[in-house]
Amino acid sequence: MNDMTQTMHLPQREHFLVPDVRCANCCLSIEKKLGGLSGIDALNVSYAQKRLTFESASPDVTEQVLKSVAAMGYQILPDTEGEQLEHYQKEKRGMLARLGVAGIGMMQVMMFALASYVAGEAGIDSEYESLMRWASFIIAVPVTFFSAMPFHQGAMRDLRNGMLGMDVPVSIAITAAFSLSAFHTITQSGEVYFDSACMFTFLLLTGRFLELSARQNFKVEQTLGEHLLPAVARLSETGEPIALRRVVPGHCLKVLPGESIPADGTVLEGSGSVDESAFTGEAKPVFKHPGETVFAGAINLDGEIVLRVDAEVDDWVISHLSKLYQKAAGFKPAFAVLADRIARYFVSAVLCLALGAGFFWWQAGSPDYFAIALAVMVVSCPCALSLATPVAYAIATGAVQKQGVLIASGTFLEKLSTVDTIVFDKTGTLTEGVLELHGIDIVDNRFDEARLISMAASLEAQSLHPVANTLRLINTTPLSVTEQQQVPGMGVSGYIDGEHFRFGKPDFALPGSTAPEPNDYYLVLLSMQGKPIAWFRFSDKLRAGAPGVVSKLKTSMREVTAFSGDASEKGRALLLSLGIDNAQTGMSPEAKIEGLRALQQSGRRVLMIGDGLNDAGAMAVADVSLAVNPVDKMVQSAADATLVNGELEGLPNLFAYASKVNAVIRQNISWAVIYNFSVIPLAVAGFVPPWAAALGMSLSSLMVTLNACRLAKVN
Amino acid sequence: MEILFVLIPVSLVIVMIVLTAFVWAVYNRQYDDLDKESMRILFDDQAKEPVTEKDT
Repeated sequence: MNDMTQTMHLPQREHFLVPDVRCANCCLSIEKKLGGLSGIDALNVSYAQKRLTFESASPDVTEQVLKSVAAMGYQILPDTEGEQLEHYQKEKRGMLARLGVAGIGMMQVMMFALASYVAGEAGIDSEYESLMRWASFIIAVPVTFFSAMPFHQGAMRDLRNGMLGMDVPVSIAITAAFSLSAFHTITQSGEVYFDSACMFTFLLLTGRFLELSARQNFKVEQTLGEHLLPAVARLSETGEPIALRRVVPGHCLKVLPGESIPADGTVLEGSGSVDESAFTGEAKPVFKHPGETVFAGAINLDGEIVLRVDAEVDDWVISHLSKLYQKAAGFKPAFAVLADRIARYFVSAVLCLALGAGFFWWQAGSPDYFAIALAVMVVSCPCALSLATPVAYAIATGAVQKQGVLIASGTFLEKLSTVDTIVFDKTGTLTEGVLELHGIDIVDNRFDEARLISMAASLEAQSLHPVANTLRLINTTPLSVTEQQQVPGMGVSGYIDGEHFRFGKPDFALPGSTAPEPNDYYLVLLSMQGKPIAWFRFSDKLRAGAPGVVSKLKTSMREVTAFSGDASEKGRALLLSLGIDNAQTGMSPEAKIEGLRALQQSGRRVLMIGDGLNDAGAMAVADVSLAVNPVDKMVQSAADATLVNGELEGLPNLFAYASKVNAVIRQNISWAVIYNFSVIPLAVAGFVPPWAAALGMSLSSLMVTLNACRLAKVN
Repeated sequence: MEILFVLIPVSLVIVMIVLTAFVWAVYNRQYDDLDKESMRILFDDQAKEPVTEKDT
């Protein structure tokens, strides 16, 4: 019995991900290797989807496949979305077959129809005309009943659910045109509209096919993003493996060359090139030193790295990325929602109008009454209107993401084009935010430098401020701190060995104190029990490209200013060297909010660009906000968009691009509205033959889509 | 022009063959991955014996 069940084991379809395949060659070599295995069937390695599928009857074969692929050096992962993707693939195949049949059929029918068009008034002999009609009829059968099936099915579904979708008039138009033409062919009377029906089907299917492909690519990219992560990581202390879902902030993980970075974190030891192209679109590897941030899903190319996990799984950039991606996919601007709602009434209005026009012309004795009703129905389909915005948004979101900009709020691009004032935060935005400790001026001689550093670093242990990052790296002996408190934009305080310490801006560490003049550095004061102990001198350096970006933005008729929390002369000089002469320095987070409100009250539309917790308030107040390399998830959620790669160079282009996106959406909407409202009266009046109606309606949809495709490149 | 009564039915038959062939090709996954096939010619033919035998 047992043997029976084993021999009767049905072949099962297995799906795996091979995210490492970089070219078609890789796929072929895997196929070649696996093709040698016995008991394996229907093997396919798809480059487009980076997936491996095969059929096998026994689990042993699956195991062998896993081993062989791993032995070739490719990562192989179970593909949980495999079934779903298979379904998409099947849908796409069906659509392609339908499209092909409609395309070939349309050409044939057009050819037959041409004979009577060319003949014009005189017409052709009736036996030839009959031949042409019968030939068209035969070709139109598969087009109407095979190619146009999705429209019929959609219409049936809509009717069963008691609503009028866009498939209803499409299906009615195709069926009616076909039936009437068939009737006229058989009875050898009246007109035939096979050509219109076939062309209408083909052009509409083209649109559906493009949409389906875009959706599928999107899906493939998205699941790949999630599968970029390994299932296990390695703890650095013991070398023991740990399941990725058990990794929590604070864990130190070791990453060997060639492995994926398993978690978002800071490099503690080692350095090497990391491929972050999945996030930034930049193919060039980035060299990471200790203290720099790495992202889960990036690939460690050559160095051995130890990293400290900084965030919970849900807060990793890759998790946000896939969430944002999903959100962007489902995003419907208010206008699109309205368009969908209107479409329902619109469709019933269209059907009534078509019936009314047909009845009017029939009663008026016109022989063309059916052609007119058909033309009205086809021409007024609001497809272009409902495509106008969503297509443009979908393409734009993808395009800016390739530039490293993740859009969280759908209105980001819309608002960005209206901005006339740009406010930068200084530290971490215009500058790299990696501070260098230049020296410590000791006020209280009981402490030496090493002790001071470990006290300051321990106080800052929970902070993500650049000062904290710098100190953490040079500190060797962490101390225990109680009642630790962070005041954003000011500093930190806490108790060490029962004594109260404050570390931060002079005014915060020791109320009433000011930094000694003149100072060239970013000064941070450490105080104990209300007495100063030491001044820490830090300096920062400008982000590459910052000067160019500021001058470009200034020439584009926008005002550029900076709100900085840093009060030092050095900081001001740095901003001046960028050409920002109206910067406000030494600002608290509250002052930044006030400053923004003041700008807005003077009629400005403000873009706030910041990176830290001290900008979050201002970013929420600003008309539009952009977070640059945010280290804190709060900042990212406050911002309308995030610049993941920290490269400011793309900013001037982004403004131009935003205007372009809005222009395209405006063009699309006005085109669709003008088209629908100008053509309906003409069709009702009987000036539009059915073939022109089919062409006009389909072309207006295609035009809207193609216009949106202009947005595929940001530059 | 009577020849049309022969030629058009012949063309219809050809179109039907073309359509059937196209639909067959699509459903046989011939169009699933267009990037890979162009490279296949650069590879040696597959050895059909099982890998385990090769290893011994």
